[in-house]
Amino acid sequence: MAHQFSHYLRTKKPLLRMLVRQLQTLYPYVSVLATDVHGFAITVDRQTTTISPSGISECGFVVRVFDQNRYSEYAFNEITKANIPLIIASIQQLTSSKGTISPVNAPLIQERPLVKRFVRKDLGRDMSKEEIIASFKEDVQRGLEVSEAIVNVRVHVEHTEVSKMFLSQARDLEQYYTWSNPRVFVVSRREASTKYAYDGFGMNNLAEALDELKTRVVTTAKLAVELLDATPPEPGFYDVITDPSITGLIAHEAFGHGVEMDMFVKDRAKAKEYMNKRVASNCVHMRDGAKSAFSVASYFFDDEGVLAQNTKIIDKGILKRGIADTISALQLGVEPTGNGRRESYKRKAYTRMTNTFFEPGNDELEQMIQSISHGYMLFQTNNGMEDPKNWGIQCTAHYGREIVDGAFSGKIVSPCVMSGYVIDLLMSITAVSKNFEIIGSGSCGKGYKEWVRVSDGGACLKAKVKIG
Amino acid sequence: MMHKIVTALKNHPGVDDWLVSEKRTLSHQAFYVRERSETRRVQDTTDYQVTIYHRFRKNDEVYLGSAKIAINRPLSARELSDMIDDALENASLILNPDYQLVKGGKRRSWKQVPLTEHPFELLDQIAHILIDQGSEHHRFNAIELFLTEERTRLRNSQGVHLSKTLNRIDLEAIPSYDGDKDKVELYRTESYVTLDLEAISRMAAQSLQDVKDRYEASPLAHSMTCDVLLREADLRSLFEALIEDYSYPAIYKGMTAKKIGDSIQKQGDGEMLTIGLCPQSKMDQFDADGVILRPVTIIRDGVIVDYFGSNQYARYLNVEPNGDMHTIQVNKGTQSIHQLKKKPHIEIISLSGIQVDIHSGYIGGEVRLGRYFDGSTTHPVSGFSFSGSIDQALASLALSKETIRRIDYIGPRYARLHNMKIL
Repeated sequence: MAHQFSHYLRTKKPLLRMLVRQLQTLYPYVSVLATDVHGFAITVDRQTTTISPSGISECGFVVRVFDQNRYSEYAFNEITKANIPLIIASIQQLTSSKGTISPVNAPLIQERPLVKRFVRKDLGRDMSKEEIIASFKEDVQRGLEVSEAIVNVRVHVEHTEVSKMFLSQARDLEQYYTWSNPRVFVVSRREASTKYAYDGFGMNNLAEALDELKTRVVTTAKLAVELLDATPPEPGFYDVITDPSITGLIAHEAFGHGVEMDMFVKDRAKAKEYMNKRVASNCVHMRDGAKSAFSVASYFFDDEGVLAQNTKIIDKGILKRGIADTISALQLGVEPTGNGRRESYKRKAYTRMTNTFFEPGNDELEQMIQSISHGYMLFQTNNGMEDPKNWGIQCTAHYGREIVDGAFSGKIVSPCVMSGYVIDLLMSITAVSKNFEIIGSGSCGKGYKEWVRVSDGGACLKAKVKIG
Repeated sequence: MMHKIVTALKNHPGVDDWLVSEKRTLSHQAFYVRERSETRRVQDTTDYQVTIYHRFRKNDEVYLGSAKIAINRPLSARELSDMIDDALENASLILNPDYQLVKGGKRRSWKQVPLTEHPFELLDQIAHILIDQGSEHHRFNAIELFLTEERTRLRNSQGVHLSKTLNRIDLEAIPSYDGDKDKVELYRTESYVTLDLEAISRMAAQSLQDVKDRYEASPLAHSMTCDVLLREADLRSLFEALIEDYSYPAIYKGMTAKKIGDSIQKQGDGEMLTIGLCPQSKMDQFDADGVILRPVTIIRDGVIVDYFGSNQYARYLNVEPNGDMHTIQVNKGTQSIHQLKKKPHIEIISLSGIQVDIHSGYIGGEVRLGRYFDGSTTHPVSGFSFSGSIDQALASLALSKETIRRIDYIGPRYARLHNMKIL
């Protein structure tokens, strides 16, 4: 681990400044985002071990220019003094091709001057890969010993160091931060029935994360055995309690995508018609932002050089505002919220969520459970899909525990596919727990692409949903 | 850079085997918002992935440790040597069973002819095909087009020396209908390896028809059980789920209790499935390990007949690898679409995403648009979900005679799932 901002990007900074200066003579707006993201992923299971680069490794540059009516971008990963003229020629070729479709005539980005460096190091002690592998082998063994029904245990960690630099006429920003994501996946079998359970979380302390994983391996293995008795729930409408993972899934998939304001520009979001209107019951408060919580999406500035923020989206059930990248904010005449994110320097920046959650309330979880005569408590995000214009829901919980007469009956169901209409669900929320958790291990696509790391979570919610 | 990496690996003590993959990507990307050009992008990048192998003996066992390096920028000789040292140290920690890397033959190369010499002109032409079919309240609100040329060069220490250049167009389009009562949209994504503007035009017209249907769709009056017709991408997802446990790594790691000779379909009235994998195109001839791809049948007449995947886990299972492929090929059925649609059914046009959990036997999803045939008339429906048992669905499965060819799926255009619960 480097423990510091990328030396490589520092060495390239003079050349990037030169590139920006030369392009400024051609274009009214020029910026460059330089990224050096690296790290490692280690996976150990019953039979094999792998060490590979972090799945989000990248190193390169993306230049954004404005040619009076449209923004264009050029992504590359080699810059030398000698090839700067070639880069400029490529950008000129890109912007000189006028095309047969009229441009949107976007406004010019206006940036306030800012020079700043940000550093957030891993808080734990250094761990060698040998030490991690040894720890994981013990974890695998610990998981296997839970039951003879355990077929395999896979433990995994991805540790990433992120260095990003943003340069423009007005801005000179650098950030360095780290994050670790451990995961466990357990397969169980009884006769012909095979089931699986998994868990994942994130923190800025590799050593502590691996300590926590030791406990999670055992609970996940026990769950995998328990799931051997699970059946899909009978389709129907139920009172449910969502655990923080499922609360986060609802916040993110069901509602969050709909307040990404690039969707407003495209006329793809129903939320646009609901600003300052009720979208949820009075006990619902929702936030997003790289500064709204400390988790996997807690950066200092976004991929467009906008500082991290903490945006209150829903206040007492009323939709107050959305989140925005720079270009969308410009077109809508609002301030960007630090949500302009790219899958990598190779891809376009879109409005993307960061740490998204429902805030804690005043209810006791035990009392929420006791208030249900027949329903389920839903656990563990499996997947979800957005429908920003029509507010359809599809959120899948890996499993649920049946509640009968205010207590868990012992029956477990899997999978639990929730569907319906977002506003119906949010309006049905009648209790929000005091306890609160952000799950810092998610990935989010826009449609079926553009994957970025996100966290979500919140309090436990009591709501009514369609399952099946 | 490839030469520099290979030379460094050959001269580095302790490196017993190696694999280097170079990927050069030239991508032209155009984004359209409400029928206007919003952003244009070019990506011109070259990345390398290097795998270092170290063979060693411990406790009388021979192990083959390996570690991967991502090289995303030019490196000095010193930087490269340090990275190889680190990878070698990592590889020495890995006690994986020994296996044989893919052996090379003669140097081979495949190159697909570029789809155009004028990328942005072509992308605008495609965008026009979509935009021109729209009207003021019935149009594509957002279109994203990616024209990508990807050249892969692969070398390993056992003589593999291969290259391929593949081209593709990826399209994401959002057809929208803004009526008096509401605004609705659908999500459409397509990929093409050849340029067929007429196919794109047909897709655009169908997408606009579908979104108009969503606008006119009504909720179902009541919950019921009904046959469901799945098509295209949803069918691919179902078939992919049916074979994913039969990859070499899944078998080696015990993801399933089933093995070659076992049936995945219970006896019933249904058509027996034959599912295989094949390369995505004629020029897509090798995988990331250098395995020359060969089409393989995984399920024949409902019975597992082979496994699939790349080199390492094939070697652990003592079989010849058929390669890492992602285009699913399925046998056509015996009934025409007309026959499949004769009895009452709901044809699923758009799902939020099909949910298939093989281990729980669950299939279902939230339906954004369907067409319900009640035995006499057909009308668009939305706002409901369907679910059912995969085992029961497969036992009574019906497949269409008519087939479709997509970049990732070749097979029946429709499948009929019997007696799904509709809520």
